[in-house]
Formats: sequence, structure tokens, C-alpha cells
Amino acid sequence: MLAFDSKDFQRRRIVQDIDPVTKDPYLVEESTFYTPLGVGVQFNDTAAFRDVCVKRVKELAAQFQLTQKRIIYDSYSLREELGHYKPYLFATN
Amino acid sequence: MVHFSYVILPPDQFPNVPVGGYRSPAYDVRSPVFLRNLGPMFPHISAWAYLGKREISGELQLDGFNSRQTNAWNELISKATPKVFPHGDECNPYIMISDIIAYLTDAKLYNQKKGLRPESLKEVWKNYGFQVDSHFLDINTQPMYKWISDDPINLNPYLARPMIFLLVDDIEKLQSVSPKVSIEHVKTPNEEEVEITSTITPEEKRFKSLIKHMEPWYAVTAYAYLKSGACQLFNYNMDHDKVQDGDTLVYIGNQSKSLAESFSHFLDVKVLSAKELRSFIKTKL
Repeated sequence: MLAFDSKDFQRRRIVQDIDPVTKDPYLVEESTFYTPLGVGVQFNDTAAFRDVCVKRVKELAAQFQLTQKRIIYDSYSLREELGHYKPYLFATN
Repeated sequence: MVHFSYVILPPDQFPNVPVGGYRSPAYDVRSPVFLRNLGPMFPHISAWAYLGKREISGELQLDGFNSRQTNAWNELISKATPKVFPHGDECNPYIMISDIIAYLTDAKLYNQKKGLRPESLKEVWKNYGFQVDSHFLDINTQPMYKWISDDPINLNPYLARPMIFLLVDDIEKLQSVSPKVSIEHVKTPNEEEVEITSTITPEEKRFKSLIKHMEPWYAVTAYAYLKSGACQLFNYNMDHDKVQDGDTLVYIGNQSKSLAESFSHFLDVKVLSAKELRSFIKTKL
């Protein structure tokens, strides 16, 4: 079985710009590289994976004290709830 | 095995991309605009890219996507029967893992100051015990993955079943009779703003994001997981022909209740209030 998803892959930088009216400098973020990034994962034993994955997610949700009562947590929800660094720990566990 | 795909189309070398031309006018779009518009289309392009290297054996599951017609889709459905899971990353553990790997890949490459290259992808995942493969799409394969018409791909025959639809009264007030196109602007290094077209209004987007942070939505995603199906917010004008026998309609509000029940008069669908669903899910968690 194969499962596919994709995400925006973007690199940005902060640059200084000048306000055309007030002539004051301000910082603005600009995109320097963008592509959609597609990921396909091949599963051999789907039933075993499903059981292990859901059990582990439940343990991690308790450990990280997630307030959203989900069975499945997408990376967007994790970042919303845990900020930028903790989702990395959650996902690599 | 994990397969990565992405697009390399440097704007200085390829400032414009020709699109359309199939039973519709052909026109050029600036390549940053083209790339941004590929984002919501990409799950099927990614599966098609995999197909270019390997055979697809067994079930093929794709996260929900919005796309205009592409040759990649036509080739994909001639060789496989994809099952499309709207909000798959919230209700399907296999698609969730693909989503998490995409997120981690971005984070790992950023942390290790590596670019998006085949050798870097192998490097950041080398200790995880799975094989890594990648495929970058460039100008040569662009006739396959560019959109050839502005008509959308009809995903109804490919939707995962059962579908769990969440009907909420106020969304009916916000929805447009036919999908309107809204445009988001993103800035690029050349000071040019890139337009990303979307078929939902900003109000609808705000409302949807609000609902998606509420318990009824979590219950809907959990129910979709338990039924091995998928889920979405229901917009009558856009989604009425998606409802089939075996699906479930979950309502919030009297108007939505009435609408959901009207489907049960001619289809074999289950109708539940958000409260009933919540009670059911509590017994399963």
C-alpha cells in the first residue's frame, strides 16, 4: 500500500525595505525558494502499522499534554498547539 | 520505502510556463505563480512521479487535493485506482505519516543547512531504516504536470468511503452559490507578488478554520478513522453530489439537521447530531 501527501517547501529571508511614503526602514520576509514537496510512503504490513502508530500517538499526546482530542494529529495541528520546536520532538519519537 | 518528489524550475531560466490548451485557451503564467498553484495539486503529481519509477502494487491512497486537469492525473488513473482522502492527514494514519515525514524533512534540511537535493534527502533519513528515493520534476516533464485546462479534476468517483460530512448552519450563510476564486499574494525576491488562486472565499476560510479547532471536528476525524474513510465540511452547492449510500452526515443546527435528513429520504446514509457522535467517540477512545 502507498500513501501520498504533500507540503509547501519554502525558504525565506528577512530583508530591509524602505517605506515609500514615510521613508522609514522596515523588515520584510521574502520567499527565496519554493516547491511543493510530495511524500509517498510504502507500507508492507498496514494493520500492524496502524495499531502501533495509533497507540504511539496516543501515548505522545498524553506526554505532550495535547488539548486537541484527536486520534490522528497532522503536522499543522501539532505546530499550532506545540509551537515550532516541540512538534519535531513529538514526530521523531 | 519513502519517495520524495519536488519541482525545480528556476524563474531566471524559465520565466513563464505555458498552461491550458486542452479544449481551453492556452496562456502563459509566470513560473513563481505556476509553482505556487501546483501546491494544492501536488498529491496526485507526486503519485504520478512515483509511477514513473516504479509500479504501484496494492492500494494507492492520496491526501485530498484540488487540481485542474493534468496529463499526470489521466496517466495515473489509467494505471491505478487512487483513493482520495479529504483531510487524510487528520483521519488516516498512513497519510498522516507522509505528512509528518514531509514536515520533518523540511525541518531536518533546515536544521542541517542542507538544500533540497537527492543526496541530502538520503543523508537526513539515513538512520531511520527505510529506503529513500527521490524524483525531481523539471521542464522536461512539465507537459505532464502542468494544468492543461482550467476545469477541475472530478474527484467524486475516487473519494474514500464512507465519507463523513460535517454540516454546520452558519457555513450555509457564508458559502457562495458557485465557487468564487479568491487570490492570496505572496512576495518573492524580485519584489513581484505571486497570486495563489483558491476557490473558497476568505470568510469561508476563516469559518472553516474556526470549526476545525472545535471538538465536533475532532470527533468527525476520529469517526472517519474508525470507519477507514475520510471527512470534510459540507458545502451544499459544491458537495451535494458527493454524498453516497453508506456515508454519514453529522449536523450542528436545525437547518443542517433538516438538510442532512433530506439526504436520508433518498440515500442510505446515517444522520447524527454532533452530540450523538461525540458520545459515540467517547466510548471508543
